[in-house]
Amino acid sequence: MFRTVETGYCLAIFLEQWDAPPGRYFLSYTARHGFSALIGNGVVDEYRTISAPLLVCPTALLGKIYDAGMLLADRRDVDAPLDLGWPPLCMGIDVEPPSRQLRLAANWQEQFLAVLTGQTPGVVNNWNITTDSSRAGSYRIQVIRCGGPGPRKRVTIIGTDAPLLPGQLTRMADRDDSGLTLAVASGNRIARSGADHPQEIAVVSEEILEQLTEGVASLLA
Amino acid sequence: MDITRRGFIQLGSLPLLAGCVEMNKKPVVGRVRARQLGIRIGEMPTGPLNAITDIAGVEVGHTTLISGQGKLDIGTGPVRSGVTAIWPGRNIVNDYLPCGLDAPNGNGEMSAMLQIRQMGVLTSPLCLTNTSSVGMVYDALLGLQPTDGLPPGVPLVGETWDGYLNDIIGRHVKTEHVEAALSSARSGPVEEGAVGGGTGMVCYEFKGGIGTASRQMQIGDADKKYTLGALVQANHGWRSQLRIDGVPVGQALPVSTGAGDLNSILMIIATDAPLLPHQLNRIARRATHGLAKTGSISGNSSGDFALAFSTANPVSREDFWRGEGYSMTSLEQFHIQPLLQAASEAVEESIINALCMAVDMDGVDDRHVPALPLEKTRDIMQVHGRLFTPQQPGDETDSDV
Repeated sequence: MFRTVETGYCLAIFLEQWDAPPGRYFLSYTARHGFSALIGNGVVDEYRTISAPLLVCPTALLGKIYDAGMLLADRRDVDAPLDLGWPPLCMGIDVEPPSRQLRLAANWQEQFLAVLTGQTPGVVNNWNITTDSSRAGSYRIQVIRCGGPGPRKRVTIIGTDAPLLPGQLTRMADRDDSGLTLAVASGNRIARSGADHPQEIAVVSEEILEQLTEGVASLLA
Repeated sequence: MDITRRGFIQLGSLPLLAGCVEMNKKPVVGRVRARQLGIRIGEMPTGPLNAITDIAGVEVGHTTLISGQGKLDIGTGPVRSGVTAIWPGRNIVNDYLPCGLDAPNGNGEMSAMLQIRQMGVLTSPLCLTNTSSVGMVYDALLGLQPTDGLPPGVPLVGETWDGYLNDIIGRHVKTEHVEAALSSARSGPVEEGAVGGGTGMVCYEFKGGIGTASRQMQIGDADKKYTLGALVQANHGWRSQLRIDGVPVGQALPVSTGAGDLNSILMIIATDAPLLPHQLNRIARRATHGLAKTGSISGNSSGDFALAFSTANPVSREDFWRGEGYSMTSLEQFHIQPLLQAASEAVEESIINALCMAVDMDGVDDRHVPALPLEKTRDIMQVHGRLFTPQQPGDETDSDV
């Protein structure tokens, strides 16, 4: 479901190809324990959607990675519409060695973009990243965890191919206790459409949602 | 002479002012809505009724309780209270509707908020009443919920405090009053002012209560028009804060009679545009803009709640709770701008309509709350060049503008 790419100092999580046609996916998040290392969430708060890869990086690099995410969006459309990669959603974690000791090459942004656009292979971060997945009924669920130590500084990303609305994704994210839990659903892809043609949006019942959240809880346990 | 506000401003106000003053010297008989007075809020055309009932399926009914006078005798009166019922659709307990919320200041009660935030659906008729009657009204509404094994929906009751005029501790709103409001609900024109849940309410230290308004818009090239309507129960604001169409009317009117800021407003928005719950949260948030344009700052003690629902995406209880799921339709995010403006304008005009339609009222301990003086208000608007001339009786709506 998710495709992840590591660059040595960033974990990029793709829901689709970086240069996919205009489109968005529903997303929600819950922050706890004073977690604050997040940029790009203002637009998520307003529209409850995302069209960019999710970027996890050392907290000290948040600004740089956000800037690189903007460069990626610029390659799609310099006007930065919110269904073509704007804004990048960047999450910060603590890593070893400490962030301030990270050394970036002079041309790091070009390297970064080359990896994200598939022109060059990635570089393993050597962070403590765990990925797990399972099924709940006919839907898949996936959990990626990184950061720490302990839940307060941990970032958890939950993905599903079920068609969940943002409020349902919030309830899914609420099953976790990480500093930041983000939930995204690929079950509805919101493409551009004319005003004359409202889009059909699929929604799961409360019964299915319960199965999905229980499945997520099992993965998180 | 045909002078719209826009034309008035474009032509320059000074040469025309004298003529307009002459045109608007007619006495105001009784209470009239803002547009009949010559006040036009915003830019968008209204629906045929300029009311929340312009949305097909939405019905409004009131039970108004007025009895007794003089000294407060708890349990006896004076009673200045009631309940306003809104059916989003007659079958709302079986066909849920997507719903969103916003609360610029949350010192109040609106039940079902958690259900709406968690599940994004409205499952009950809405009842607006006073602070002490929430539990009783909630209980009455709970009786409407099916008992067939599926989880029941949560009743929706909102409140504002009418204790300045009403024996609020006496809890005079009973189950039968809720039932009467629900059963009397109709589409068509909505009674405004000191009626229903708004009976004892005070707005900008004038008599407040229930007000409504609507806006129509075309989104896209199709012939399809969408409508958004608002209904408020207004019980907020200091007189000096009151602005009408940007004019500081409150500062130009006599000093307060002492009611003060009673702090709260309920703002209900309905639309037939196909929207999802998170989009309706955004619509609800724009209610605050309309509220603010009338002068309110949502004070520290306010219970200011806005709720928005769409009639376009009913979901059966069965599909909502059980089975694989269901589908809704949604306007793309890029197309909802007119709805945001409509929400702001409709709420703003609803508040002004509540003020225009409410009548003087005496309440507990002979407290008196005057109605907004309409002729003086008209004169103030005139001086500021913010009056337009209704072209004929019934021109209070302008869906053909």
